[in-house]
Amino acid sequence: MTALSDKVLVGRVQRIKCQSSFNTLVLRHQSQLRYSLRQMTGWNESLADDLAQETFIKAYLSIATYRGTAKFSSWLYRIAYNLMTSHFRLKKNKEVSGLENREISTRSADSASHSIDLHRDLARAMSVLPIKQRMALHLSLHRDLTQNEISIIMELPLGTVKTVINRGKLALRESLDSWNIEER
Amino acid sequence: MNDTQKVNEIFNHARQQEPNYSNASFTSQVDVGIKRERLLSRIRSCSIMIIAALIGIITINTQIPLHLLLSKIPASIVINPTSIMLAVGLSSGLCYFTYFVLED
Repeated sequence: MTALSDKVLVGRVQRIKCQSSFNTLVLRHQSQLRYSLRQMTGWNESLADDLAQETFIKAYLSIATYRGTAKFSSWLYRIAYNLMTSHFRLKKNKEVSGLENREISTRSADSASHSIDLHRDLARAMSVLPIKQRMALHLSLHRDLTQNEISIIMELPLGTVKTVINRGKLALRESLDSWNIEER
Repeated sequence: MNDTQKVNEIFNHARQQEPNYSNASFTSQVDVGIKRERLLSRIRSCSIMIIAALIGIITINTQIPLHLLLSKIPASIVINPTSIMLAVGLSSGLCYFTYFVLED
């Protein structure tokens, strides 16, 4: 049996508020969204999962506004990005990030899981960047989205997206200077 | 390898090793959150309707002489063939309307 496409499932949720179709969408996208939010929040797992849950709840409640012009996953990222920016704005971005980073360093020292270290270290390196650069870099380099898709998700002009990505790469180069991929 | 290539390489490496998060309890938590939000939105809309109704009642009360209207309600009911036919007709109409609305 072939799996139903996102478009079909979204159509069912929009027409009859089908909860099981929405659960299928959550199952399909939760892992990637949770990972992306971990990268965006400096690997703060509880905050990332809370934001992911809020994203799905908001997506369900405002599913009628989804027109299908972009991919469903892009629409989810847009909601997640808006939630994340308002979260950091409310909590005064820099202070919160600083505290979260300190918590992460303690945890990573205790952790024996080497497989997750790469992702955690990358998230920590990214956390020094402004949230806009973090998101644009992650969507471009990790999710492999086109600059056009990123401009739709982040509601930025195409030229600004290019600039943000280039600046982000430059800033990240310095943080990742001492990295040796073979060791990771 | 130049610096930009290195950044790309690190992201490629991370993408290949991206962990797959299990769904354990995540979907059910989303479910609970959706139900809570729906309940809250229902409570909000009911509260708005009740407040609007109260404002309406207060406004009407000052504009319309309710005591005159209330005095026109009959104090006793006379049962005769006409009133029975009227009651049957009204209840049939009401039942048909309810069925018509619920069928949609």
